[in-house]
Amino acid sequence: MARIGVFVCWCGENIARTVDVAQVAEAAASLPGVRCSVHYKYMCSDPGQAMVREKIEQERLTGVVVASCSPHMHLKTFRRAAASAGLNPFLVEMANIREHCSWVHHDRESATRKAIDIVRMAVAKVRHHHALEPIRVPVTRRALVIGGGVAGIQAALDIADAGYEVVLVEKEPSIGGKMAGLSETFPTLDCSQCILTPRMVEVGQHPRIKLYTFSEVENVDGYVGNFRVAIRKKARYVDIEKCTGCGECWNVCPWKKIPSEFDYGMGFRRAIYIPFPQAVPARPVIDKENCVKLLKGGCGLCAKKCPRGAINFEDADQIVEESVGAIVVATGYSLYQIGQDQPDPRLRGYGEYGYGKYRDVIDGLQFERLISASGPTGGELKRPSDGKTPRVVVFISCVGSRDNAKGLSYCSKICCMYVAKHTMLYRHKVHDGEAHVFYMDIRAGGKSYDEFVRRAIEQDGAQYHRGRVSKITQEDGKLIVRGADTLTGAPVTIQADLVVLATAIRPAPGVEALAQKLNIGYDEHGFLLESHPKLRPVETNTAGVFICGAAHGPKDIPESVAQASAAASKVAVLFANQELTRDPEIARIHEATCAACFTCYRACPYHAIEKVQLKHKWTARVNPGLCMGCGTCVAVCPSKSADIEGFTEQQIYSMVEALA
Amino acid sequence: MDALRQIAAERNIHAGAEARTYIFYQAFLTSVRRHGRLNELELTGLFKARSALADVDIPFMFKDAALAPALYQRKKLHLGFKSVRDRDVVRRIFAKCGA
Amino acid sequence: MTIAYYPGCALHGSSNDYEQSVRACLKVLGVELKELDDWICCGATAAHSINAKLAIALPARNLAIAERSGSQELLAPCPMCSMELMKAAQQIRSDDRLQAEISSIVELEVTGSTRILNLIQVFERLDLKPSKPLSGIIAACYYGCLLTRPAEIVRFDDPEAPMSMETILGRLGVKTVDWNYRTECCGGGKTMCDEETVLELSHKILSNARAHGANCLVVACPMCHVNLDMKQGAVNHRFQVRHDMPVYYLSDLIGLALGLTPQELGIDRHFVVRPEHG
Repeated sequence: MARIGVFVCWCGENIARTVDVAQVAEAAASLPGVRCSVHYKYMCSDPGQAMVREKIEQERLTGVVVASCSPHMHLKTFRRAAASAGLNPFLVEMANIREHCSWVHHDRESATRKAIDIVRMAVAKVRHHHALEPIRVPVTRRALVIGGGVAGIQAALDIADAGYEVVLVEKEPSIGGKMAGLSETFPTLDCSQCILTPRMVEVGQHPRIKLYTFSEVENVDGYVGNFRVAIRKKARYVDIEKCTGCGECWNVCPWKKIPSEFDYGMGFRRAIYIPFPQAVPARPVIDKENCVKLLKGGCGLCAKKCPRGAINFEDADQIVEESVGAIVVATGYSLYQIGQDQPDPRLRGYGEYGYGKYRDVIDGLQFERLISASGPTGGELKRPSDGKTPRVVVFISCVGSRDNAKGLSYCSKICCMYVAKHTMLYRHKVHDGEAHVFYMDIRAGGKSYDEFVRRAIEQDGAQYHRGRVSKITQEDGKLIVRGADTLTGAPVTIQADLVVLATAIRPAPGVEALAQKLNIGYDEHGFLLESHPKLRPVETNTAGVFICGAAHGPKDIPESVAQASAAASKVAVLFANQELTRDPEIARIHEATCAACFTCYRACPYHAIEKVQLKHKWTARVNPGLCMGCGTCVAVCPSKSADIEGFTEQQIYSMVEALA
Repeated sequence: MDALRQIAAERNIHAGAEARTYIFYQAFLTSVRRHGRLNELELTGLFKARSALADVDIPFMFKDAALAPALYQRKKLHLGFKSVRDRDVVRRIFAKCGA
Repeated sequence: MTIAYYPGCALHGSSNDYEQSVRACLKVLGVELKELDDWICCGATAAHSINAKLAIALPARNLAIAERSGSQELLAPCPMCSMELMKAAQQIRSDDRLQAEISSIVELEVTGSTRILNLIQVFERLDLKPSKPLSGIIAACYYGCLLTRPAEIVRFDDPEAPMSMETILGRLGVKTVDWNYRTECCGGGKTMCDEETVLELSHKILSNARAHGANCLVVACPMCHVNLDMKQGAVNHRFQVRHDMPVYYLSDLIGLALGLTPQELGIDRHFVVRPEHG
């Protein structure tokens, strides 16, 4: 026998102004199954909640309907109130007579009638409510962090410092990411490596961080709290346990002119190399595409020189397995390729800027290496073509970004700031040099950012031209840059020695394949999708997988670090208990009637359905750890065996019938 | 860009230097409307006359006249111009387009 | 090989040296040109600057004539004409309502199915074997605006750094240079109504070609030819220089390499002529 309590809220004036709340309470009192029906000014307040608790105890209620605002607002509040009075929290239903009624109608009479109907439906639903218990899933309290740039490093340190083990996987031979290659960072002009390397060392030495470098995630199985990850350790050809990083090997390697990836082609490295001196781990790797011994045989000088016998030409890729409970994706970014050869047919490249044709047209990261004190030119800015000091440098913003015609519609966020930084660093090195910037807008929204740009212009003499560059050609060793200045309305031609293009930020290559392995979404540009852009920026729609840093979208270092800590805190929340508690309003399959057609298995967007063999037949079964309660399986099941707890078909039908 | 030019043409708004260009295009289309193809001599005559009148710039009429013998010598000046056979359809096309 | 042919007003007017060159050269290569019957002007810049509908209708009439003649392809050596024909064809193909309206206006059914070719594309299909080495020619290939732009319409070559002419000439052993004004504008049809701009632009083009070691220009557009050749004297006078740069049509150089005489190709009718070609 149902004993339902109805609590109608005035919500101050919000509901009461349009709906006759007293009348609704009176009408509800005569609905079948209703034991008591009251109204109050603010149901969510302490006295309001006390009222609910009292009535539950007094009237021995088996169900509660609160007619007030949206469940998004206060369902949790009333569930907690009910639970504290001893009533199962899932026997509480909210009838939204605010957003669905008083806020969208004007006529008092019809609004009140509608509110009564809404309450009637809610009561009908509650009569078929079952008590539900939260689902408990065991949690392996170890985390996987994919990507060892500043975001990955921050997340790994936070999680490890909170007391949990972290597996950090980085595909390059060293952690550090893009930040390790930068010269100085805005707005403080801190030396990038100086502030990063201590963190890198901390990661390398942390007792709870297991570091896999030169490795990639091969496969991911399982679900939140229980992931099984296969990691491919690529062949390094160097035993990093035996190696001490002494450098004898790379000093004797005869292949010296291989373009360095770390220097973005601005410098060279050897076939056996360490990407930069402060690498973590400080152990070399052999480039199998360029090592003569691996390709054809012969040489082997490095192995002969090595005092510890750490070089192993028989090395091969290895797959290792790790069990983790949470995954943080921090794969970072890459720069837009400016040439005409594009990986994506929608992008068209910028042939008019001559990148790839003229050696003195470079991109932002290449410029960073040229001005970095630890760069290929020792911090002296030299033109790639002839090694001379450039006296006139042109910086061009928005190359590839904000361009609907050639494919990338978004703003890359950090370029306005690093272009200003580049002009300052250039002027600090070449005191009589001219720095010109062609821009569309200046986006400097962070703390001290606008002041930083003004400093570049007012103190360091950077010349800003508002307009785009139409073409770059070369005459007599000078780059002729033709653009416009829309503020003066005149064309501008500059004879430059060096041109630096601020190219668009794109996600790291291969991230889409990784996202598919993890079952997380990505947008049309390849940036990973968050659960909610405002309120859940570091979670994904797959429970247990979190994202942070530039993999989510273009952002600067402070934001990447903040997001990394945010993701780490989400992991810590997940790990706070031995078990994971999830809302029980998920799908359930009635196994007796299930015909094992597995339509639900194919339809489920979260891969939450399993095929289970019972004694006498097969059945589909919902994995309570993964199901998000979307209801797709319920819609497609031909035998009506799938249902959602808390929103059963019987409940929905009864609501419809109550209206009729 | 073309949309702006077309709107300017409709509203008869022609800024200084471009006024001559507009006269040129109108002369061009006048000739095409009449013959189906462009009669260069007719175009030159119409353009020079109309723009000279518009700006009271008589010397403009006679500029380029020195080119005429050079063109004639190179057999580029066609005094016997032939229109298309079906000139009427061209007139109708112009009319239907409101031009 | 036979191909439908749309000369356009310029090639039958003061740029008939271009037509002479094209006809002579294609003839020895075994290509027969079938001129479209009773073709009309494509509208050029005048139409699209003043009336949008007329700008589609005039070329569409020619497309309809081409379709009726059974030709799937149409050669238009003037890039203004070829671009306007392609633009009209594309718009008609993509919009049924427009297709019906234009068909009614031009009084012939037009579907826009004809494939429009420029002169370079025709040469690309032919087997060119040089019979005479062209010594003393260092050519700067000038594409101007309309051969490669608007890129979405003409879809030909690379709009920033086209190489189709250089490739063809290379096959014939003709030396070409890399220079910076290959796709810059010459002033187009503004020769009469804005001569000052045309002279300035042409001067830059001629100067840059010379600065990069060329001793002549190669074009595939009658308007470019007029601005760079016929007006070269005016450029010289205006800027007090002597450019001395003959401007050849692409078919001129190919024709010479195949053994034709300058007179057969109409080279002697240009304004700037090398003494041995005059």
